[in-house]
Amino acid sequence: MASAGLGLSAVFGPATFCAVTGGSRGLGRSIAVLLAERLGEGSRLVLTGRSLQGLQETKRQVEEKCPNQLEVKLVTADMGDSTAYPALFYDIFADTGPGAFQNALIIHNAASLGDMGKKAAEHFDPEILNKYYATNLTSVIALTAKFMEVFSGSNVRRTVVNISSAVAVEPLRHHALYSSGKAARNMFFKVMAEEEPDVRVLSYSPGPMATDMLQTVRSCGDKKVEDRFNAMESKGLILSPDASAKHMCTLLEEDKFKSGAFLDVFGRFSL
Amino acid sequence: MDVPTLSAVKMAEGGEGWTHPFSKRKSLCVVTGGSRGFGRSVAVALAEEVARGSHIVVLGRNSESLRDTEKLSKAMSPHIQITTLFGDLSKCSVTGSIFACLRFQVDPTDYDHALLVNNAGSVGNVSRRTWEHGDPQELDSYFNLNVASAVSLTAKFLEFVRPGNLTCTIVNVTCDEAHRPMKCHSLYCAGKAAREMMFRVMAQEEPHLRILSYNPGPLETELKTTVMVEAADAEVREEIRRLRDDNQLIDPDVSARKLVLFSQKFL
Repeated sequence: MASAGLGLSAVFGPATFCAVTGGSRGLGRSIAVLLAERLGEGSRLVLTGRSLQGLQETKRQVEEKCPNQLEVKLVTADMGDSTAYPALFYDIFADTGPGAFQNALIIHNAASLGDMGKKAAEHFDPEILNKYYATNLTSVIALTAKFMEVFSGSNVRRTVVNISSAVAVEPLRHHALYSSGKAARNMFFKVMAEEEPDVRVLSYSPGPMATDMLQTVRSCGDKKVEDRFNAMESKGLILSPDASAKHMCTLLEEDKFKSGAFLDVFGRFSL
Repeated sequence: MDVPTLSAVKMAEGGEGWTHPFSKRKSLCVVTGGSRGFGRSVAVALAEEVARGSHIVVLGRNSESLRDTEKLSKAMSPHIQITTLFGDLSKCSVTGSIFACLRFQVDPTDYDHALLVNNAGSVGNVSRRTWEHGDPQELDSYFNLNVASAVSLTAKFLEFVRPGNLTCTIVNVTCDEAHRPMKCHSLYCAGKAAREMMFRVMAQEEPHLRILSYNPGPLETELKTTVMVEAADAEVREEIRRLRDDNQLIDPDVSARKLVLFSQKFL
């Protein structure tokens, strides 16, 4: 049930544990700063990312905007290294004993594009493919499992957000790894929504945003891909990550989405 | 051009007088997961249709079962070559060694057409719910077998046959679960969704290739029996049981023949 005035809601109310992966820049940073304003007393924001410097800047922005005393914890992490998961997950979920939190929210935002220079038929090396899926798929599944284990029981309201992409459903040249990984994640979370009706599960397509990731995509060397994003830019469809983060937060706060749904910032699809 | 996804239950048979293009062309075919089940049925169905002088390579994990696949295929046609290769696609080194081995036995310039059927796969541990998949090594191994190996094998296959300048058909064996979430099947759904998307991107990038995602329908194979017995969710077990009891599980041989029929419509 939403509370008035301060923008707090059942999702972001008091005593919310919130983890955002890939929080050192781009959309992750925007999400962290936006959510921080909405987290109530006794909440904790955990940010993971590869760059400590980036995480520290996000934390600085959070503390600048956030009027409440919010505990912010930074965890440097490389999601591609599965041997480091036990230590990483320990750090993320430390001090989350029973009764510590009423709400738990995890935003799976960290992602990589993979080698955009390779076409699908040029992916000869299974080790490179495996590394990609370890970073973008296995890590998300294993982290979700840990999240569910830590916050098991019906007294904690749990929300899982999968930051996805339009290419999860629309194939795009040079995006073989990225689109297949996102397609896999979308299906995984749809199954999760079926199995766990008490968990709010959302796959969110944030749209093309002015981030380092989009820069990489636009310089992949494929004219059709470049043309696509140039056309989007000329129509004013390249969003700021803040705008996209705001739309995502609105979806969470309104809390009307069907669990497991895949929703797009522009409403291009609702699957 | 998007990749057609066909379902065995929707395909029509060719009409009277229709000839099988396969019978006119020497084909080099590779079928993975051919020790049993649908892969075996595909190998046998291909053996029935391909032209004299064709070569079918069957990859599998069980040597004894592979020999049975070989016998059944050879019984279809004495005029073709059957090669069986033992290999576990969940191990990274295997995709490379397959073609290293074939290089000594197969010259792609001897053939008119090349066909790869990416069938090998597993359903994953259906006794686990989504949130119980906490072992990263198990997850990595699953996606290696079910996604990475199919992609790298396809890349290596295309590279292998390139000197022959052959027409190439790539088949991705898929299923309903690539699009329909099913309890206890989180990894299977994820893996099949990843594969389908991977091949759809490939189809965009390689317009000269014929790429087909084929849904064989719910088959009467060990995979379904495993789910019927081991799935954590009673409704899932019951659904399979009902399909079996109502004779709605499809004979893999029938489905395999439809796949072969349709593959030829591309030619």
